[in-house]
Amino acid sequence: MLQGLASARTCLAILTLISVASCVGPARTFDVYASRAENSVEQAQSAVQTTLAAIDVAVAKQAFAPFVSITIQDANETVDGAESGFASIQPPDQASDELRQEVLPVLSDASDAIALARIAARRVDVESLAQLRPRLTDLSRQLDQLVEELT
Amino acid sequence: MKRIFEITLGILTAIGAFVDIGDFVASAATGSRFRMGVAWVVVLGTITIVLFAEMAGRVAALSQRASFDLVRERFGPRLGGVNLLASFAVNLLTLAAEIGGLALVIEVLTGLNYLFWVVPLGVAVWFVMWRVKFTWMERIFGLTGLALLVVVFGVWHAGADWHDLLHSATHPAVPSTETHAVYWYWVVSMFGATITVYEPFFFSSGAIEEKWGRQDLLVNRVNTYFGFSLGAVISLGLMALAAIYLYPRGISVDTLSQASLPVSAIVGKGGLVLLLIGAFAAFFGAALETGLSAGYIVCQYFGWPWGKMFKPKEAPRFHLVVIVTLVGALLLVQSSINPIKLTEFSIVLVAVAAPLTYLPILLLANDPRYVGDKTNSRATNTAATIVFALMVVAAIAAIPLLLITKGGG
Repeated sequence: MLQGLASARTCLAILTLISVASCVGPARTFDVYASRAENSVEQAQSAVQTTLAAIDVAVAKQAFAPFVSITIQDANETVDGAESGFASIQPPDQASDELRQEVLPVLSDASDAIALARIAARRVDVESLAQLRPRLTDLSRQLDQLVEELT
Repeated sequence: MKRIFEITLGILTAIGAFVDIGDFVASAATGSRFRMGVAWVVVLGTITIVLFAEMAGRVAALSQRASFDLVRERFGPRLGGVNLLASFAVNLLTLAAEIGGLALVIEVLTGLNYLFWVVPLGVAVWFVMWRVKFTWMERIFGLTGLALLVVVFGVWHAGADWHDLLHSATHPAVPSTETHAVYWYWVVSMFGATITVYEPFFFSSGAIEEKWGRQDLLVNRVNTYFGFSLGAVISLGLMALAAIYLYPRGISVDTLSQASLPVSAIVGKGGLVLLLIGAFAAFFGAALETGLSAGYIVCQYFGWPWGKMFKPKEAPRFHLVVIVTLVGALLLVQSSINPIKLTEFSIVLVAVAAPLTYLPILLLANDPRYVGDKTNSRATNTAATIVFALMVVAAIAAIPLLLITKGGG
């Protein structure tokens, strides 16, 4: 009986640790804050590139509409998560404030652009999707620059 | 002809268990982050699963008893019980992940949210387990799963630089954007995805369901060697496609749709359809295997009648365990836990639980009371001991890596 309780407690502790592992913790130094920024920017870059790839397959008629729509919807959720996750971290110092002002607008722009792509994909509006390509390409370039600065 | 159909057990186990949602996600995710830098783990995992599944099949064919039945007899109720708990927990998580994966496949085909499909898919899995004969189950899902070979065509069609891919596989490197901890986390995950613990139990129980005997040892060997190697080829194909198409774009795989993008872009709409049909069959096969395995291991441990060959009234507890496990898995997926995250956690937990479930198989395959003169050769024991030692290292490292990398970075 006692052994069973001990096993249950161990399982609970492992599950709690696993849950905690997925949470965003506070950033106490600039380095930690910059590392979080880098992660968020990389996630956003992945989402923007996914959207670009989905637009390409949609324009080339290499995928059916629901696939394109779901791919961009997933990318939208990823970039939203990256943006809100980073925005929720308290910047620890002045340098972090400046980094926040540099990173957040780009993440926000990426989120807006991918949301527009999601709407167009849901309407199977391939023309609008294609028109978003230059904006997303430019965002991808900006995110690349941010990654380089942060690495 | 009969022999060819017998091979389908291996193909089902390989396609449905090797290339399940865990392997699908892990292969594409590692390819997108480390190119072919984790390919060696697929090879190592394949050697491991081939060795141990062959042992499990041999023990079953010669003793006419499935692995878990013997685990309790040979190791006693306490160690057998710990083994049962660990295997059942991982099995339940894996079943939930497979149903989640099936729902995600339907989502990308229809555009309707995956949660809408969870219950109907659960009912479909239960119906197939209840009504469809074991041999037909193998043939339908095992052979349809072969559509996944489209990824191999995709790698060829992409005009891949084979020398570069091989170099990436033989010279694993951690990109500047990743840490070594993240790399090793994915090594452990990929290993867990390759050696899923239910495979040997399903394989040995399936051998009993198919009434294997001494004369089937060759079929057992061909099934494991051919079936799992085929699964490994598909897994490496998924990894290579991600390395070719996703890695240069900086796309890190977090979703099923991202994992499918390379086939869509390289092969086109027809390729995408084949990939999704193959993935559906593979995940469905894996859901059947995990669902049935839950019934197998519980009933074998308690000595209750088990097997699809029995009607519900002849083996009521077997069918009840299967249904209860299925309902538990459905509740887990329906709670809107991200199926991909669930998959990633489940494959790490597989790595943790694996030594506990694999060690008894190694010991049983060396016990003449169960396998007579067909005990492991010295070469098999040497290879199995080495991979088992690595399995233990992976099991110890799994949870710390999960915590350090916050679930893979």
